[in-house]
Amino acid sequence: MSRENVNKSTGKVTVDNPRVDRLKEQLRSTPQEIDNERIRIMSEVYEGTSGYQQILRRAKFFEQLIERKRLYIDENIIVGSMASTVNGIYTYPEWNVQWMKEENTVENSKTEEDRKANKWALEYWDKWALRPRADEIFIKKYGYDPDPVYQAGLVAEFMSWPGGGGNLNYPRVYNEGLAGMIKEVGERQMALDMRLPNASKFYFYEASLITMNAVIRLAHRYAELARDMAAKEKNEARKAELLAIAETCEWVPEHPARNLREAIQCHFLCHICAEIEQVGCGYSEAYLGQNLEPFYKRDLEAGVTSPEEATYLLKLLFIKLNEIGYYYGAKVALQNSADLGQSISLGGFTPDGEDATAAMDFHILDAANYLHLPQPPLTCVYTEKMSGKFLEKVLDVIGTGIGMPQFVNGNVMMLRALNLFADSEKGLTLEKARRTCIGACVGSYIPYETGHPVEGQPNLGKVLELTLNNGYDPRLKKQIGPKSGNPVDFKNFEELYTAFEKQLQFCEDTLRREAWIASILCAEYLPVTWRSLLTGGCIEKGTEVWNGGANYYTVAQIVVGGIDAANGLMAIKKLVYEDKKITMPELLKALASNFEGEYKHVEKMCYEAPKHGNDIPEMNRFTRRVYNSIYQAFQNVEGGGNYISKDIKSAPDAYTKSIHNLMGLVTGALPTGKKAGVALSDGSLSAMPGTDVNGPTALVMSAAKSQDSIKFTATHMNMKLPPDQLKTRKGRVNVLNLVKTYFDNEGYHIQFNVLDTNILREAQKHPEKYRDLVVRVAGFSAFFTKLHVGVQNEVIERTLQSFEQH
Amino acid sequence: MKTQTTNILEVTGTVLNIQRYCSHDGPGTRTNVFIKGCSLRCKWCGNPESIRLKPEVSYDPQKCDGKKCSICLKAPFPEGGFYFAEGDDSKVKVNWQLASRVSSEIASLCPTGALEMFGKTMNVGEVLDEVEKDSSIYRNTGGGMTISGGEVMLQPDFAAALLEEAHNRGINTAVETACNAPWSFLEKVLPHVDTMLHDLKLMNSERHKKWTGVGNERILANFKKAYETFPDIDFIARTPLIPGVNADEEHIRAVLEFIKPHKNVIDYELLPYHRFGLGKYESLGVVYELDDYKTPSDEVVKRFQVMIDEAFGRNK
Repeated sequence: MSRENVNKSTGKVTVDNPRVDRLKEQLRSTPQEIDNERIRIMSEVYEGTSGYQQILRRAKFFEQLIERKRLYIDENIIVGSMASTVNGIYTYPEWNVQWMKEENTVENSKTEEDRKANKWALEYWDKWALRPRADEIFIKKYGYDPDPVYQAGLVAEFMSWPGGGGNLNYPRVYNEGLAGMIKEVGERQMALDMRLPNASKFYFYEASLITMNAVIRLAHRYAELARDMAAKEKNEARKAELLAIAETCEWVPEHPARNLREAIQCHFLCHICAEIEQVGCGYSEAYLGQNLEPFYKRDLEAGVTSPEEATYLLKLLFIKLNEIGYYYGAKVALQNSADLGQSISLGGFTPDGEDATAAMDFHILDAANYLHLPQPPLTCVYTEKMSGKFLEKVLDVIGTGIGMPQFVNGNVMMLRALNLFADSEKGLTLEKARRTCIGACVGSYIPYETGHPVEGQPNLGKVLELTLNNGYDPRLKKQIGPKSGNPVDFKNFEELYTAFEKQLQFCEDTLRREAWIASILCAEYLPVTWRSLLTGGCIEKGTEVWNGGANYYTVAQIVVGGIDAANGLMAIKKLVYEDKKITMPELLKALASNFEGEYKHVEKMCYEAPKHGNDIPEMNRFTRRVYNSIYQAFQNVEGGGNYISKDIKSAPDAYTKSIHNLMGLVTGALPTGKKAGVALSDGSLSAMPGTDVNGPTALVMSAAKSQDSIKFTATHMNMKLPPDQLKTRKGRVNVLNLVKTYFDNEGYHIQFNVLDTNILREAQKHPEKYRDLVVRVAGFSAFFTKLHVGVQNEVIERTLQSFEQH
Repeated sequence: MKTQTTNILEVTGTVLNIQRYCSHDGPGTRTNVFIKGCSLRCKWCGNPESIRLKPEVSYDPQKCDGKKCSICLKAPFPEGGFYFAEGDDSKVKVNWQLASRVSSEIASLCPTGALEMFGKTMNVGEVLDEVEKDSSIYRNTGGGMTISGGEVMLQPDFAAALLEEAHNRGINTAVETACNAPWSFLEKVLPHVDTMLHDLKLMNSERHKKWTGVGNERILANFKKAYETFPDIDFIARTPLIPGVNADEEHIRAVLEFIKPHKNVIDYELLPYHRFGLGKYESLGVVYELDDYKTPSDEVVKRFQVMIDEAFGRNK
């Protein structure tokens, strides 16, 4: 495509790292605060637009919100914000107002205006919100109330708060400009044959035009604000800076960006509009560095930018990404730690299958390494063609202890995409499959063309608990699942497993059926026009993304507790049915008593039963069987597919955000040795804490064998590294060899958390939780907790010199 | 001279431990198979649990529940093997002589894990099935299996069978040995070895005897003969560096002199001494004689390394 000439007046920036530090401090010292601006404007707009088609009503609300929201410009020369203050957060009552009731938002309002807005939101959405509407339909259709299933913690539902939506095509906006897209959409609208089947397309295009003009208007409002501020500004340097902001926002996103700064500003304004339209976890940033690379290269050639300046702009962008937040009550906060999943993919393949790593990927690592902030999460899409230089940089950043970048396997992403989409309606070329990137946190998408309806999170730990209690939940004291049989009566392990599958099917049936109802309702009354405009297929089809416009779909169903279920079932298989160390009635009593009193020894027995992560062939096969069972139960629901069509192939993800904590709280004692209230295992393939005692290769080889990483849309494994592993040549090589070996065996995801000496001290206090911790110095290696305490202290003191995992 | 595969698989020996993801004993990432039994008594030994040839019980007082439990004071535990000292029933005490009768079945009755067995009898098939699990990382790193000890050469038939079976399965082999064994034992093992790591602890025989219990004549003769008989093996000489014992230039020079004529000795590695065996001595009821010794300083190690690099023509 043709490009505008490099614009030097907005392109040149002065690196000012003290400013970055101040902005970071502002971020840290400003508490997150609910901003009622959104629901106030909604209360004013909603009544007056009730006659419109819902998609137009939503677009008009978006337009009004953009027009009337309060703006601010601080020291950051990248402008834009979701709410009206730094760290302000909007609320989204359209999904569920239950938390607003529980947390008394009306009574707790600080101003009369806020009180009015909250009261309106509560009253209006109490009747119309997604969750109660979905419940009503579900009960009518399926004859039971799904709420106890959620209360019990068998399923975490995703209907009570908005979910994010894939990798949006911001590059299209900064490469083509919205003016061009407005023209295209206008022409398509005018070309429609005005008959019934095209009516919805007409409305979608109409909403699109309103929305795109609103996005341009937002930029222009920032430009006006910057000019006003400049007029009053005495400091010449600051004045020039404000005028450059104004000039930038007068140009993008309406027109194609003319330099790196304009591209980054455009990217962020598009992103913030997506968050304003519907905030949520999972608007990931795709291959941001590679998309910005052409602008960076041109600017470099023109002498407009430098590596330092590019890195500086990225820092300012990342500060902005950390200002976004959401709040839907304390429970959801615990569920996903207000994660936004604005993941950036680094590396990967070009469409031709070459190494795609860009210079800007290096700068992204530099910027993240400077800031050490939670957003944006970085992912290294590992390929065998990746340069050693880049991997060294990746290891440097991991070594700082910020837990990123995570590694994912580029080949597996590609195969997964081909498996899901090659025989879809749209088809999938190899070239496109190679560009698969991270979607949300760990899953993978075809960038810019994937709709991502949310379903929920099944808790396999709870499935096992219900199986052992004939569908009854001991915590709620209520029958939750079907009566799958009293385990005392089972003659063999297979009968128990059949009961487990029954509970699993019930879990999947409830989860998917209500999620589908909710998605159908979203298609009708919570359409997302801006998101659709930036999702490939929607404009061409004239169809909004919830309504089936996207070229591809994946599903956010995040399987939690797979390892807990596999470990727990295996313990029963061994202890009760094979080795007969304990009878089923005794085991059930021990679990009911939470291993207290006379059943303390059962906890140890359970804990020491074979566990995932030790590369025991029988265990590996069994874990895979459990994962295949959940996969099958997922596909069994209404004959498979997703809520749009039986023919849209889909698969569950398997990863945890922080929900294994919440799910652990509501899950009782398990035959894994987990006590009631203790967290479940994290990830989908991480070992239960302290139970993988055969070292790192045993863990990764178990992981590679225990779940089909291609069939599932995500797998997830976290691994601990000793403090100084990445400080020695050999230690670094070992880590990369481990990654390569895991990926050669079709492992998909591995994330390293570097331990600090505090953890070693913690391990001294609680050795039972750290049995897996191995230390090695020179020719001798040992499990840390087995060492003499004097030697442990020596190890702790020496960690800064020569530590390396065995 | 290939033996029948089925026979090899059934050869048994005493294995102390199989440890995956090792990176110090031979090329690449390796699985170390530690076998039991040693004919030296090095006073600094870091693996005292590997000295005796047979499986043996160990005791970790930190885990013991004492009076509350008392299981080991009753049958089938040997009478008098475990007891309480007067006025202290928080932890059991061990009569090591009597306790040595404890089998692995009996040890497993200890509910806290304070009593554990070191070593078990395994056959070659069982060991290699475990070793083979990391084939993928061996291929990526040029790694393989290393048999360590104890003294490898004291279970020559078992070691030879393990190594031969490793080769059958495409796995690179290494042994870590001090070679204090008859040449006829070495002759069985070495044909299946790709890399031999061997300890030159002390070059003076009297001092060798003082610190390890035996003189070094047979050891040095074995090394020489091995260098000459097996030109295709990569030999790596090693010294566990212990201040006051052998952490001196004289020793380094003597070793370099010894290996110099043999081109198949490809490296000389220094292993700075650490006291990591300390806890294990307590667990086995053995007195640790070397309590006062310190780890050699980084400067000393660096200085010796320069000498070695010069001798091998590596300019740093």
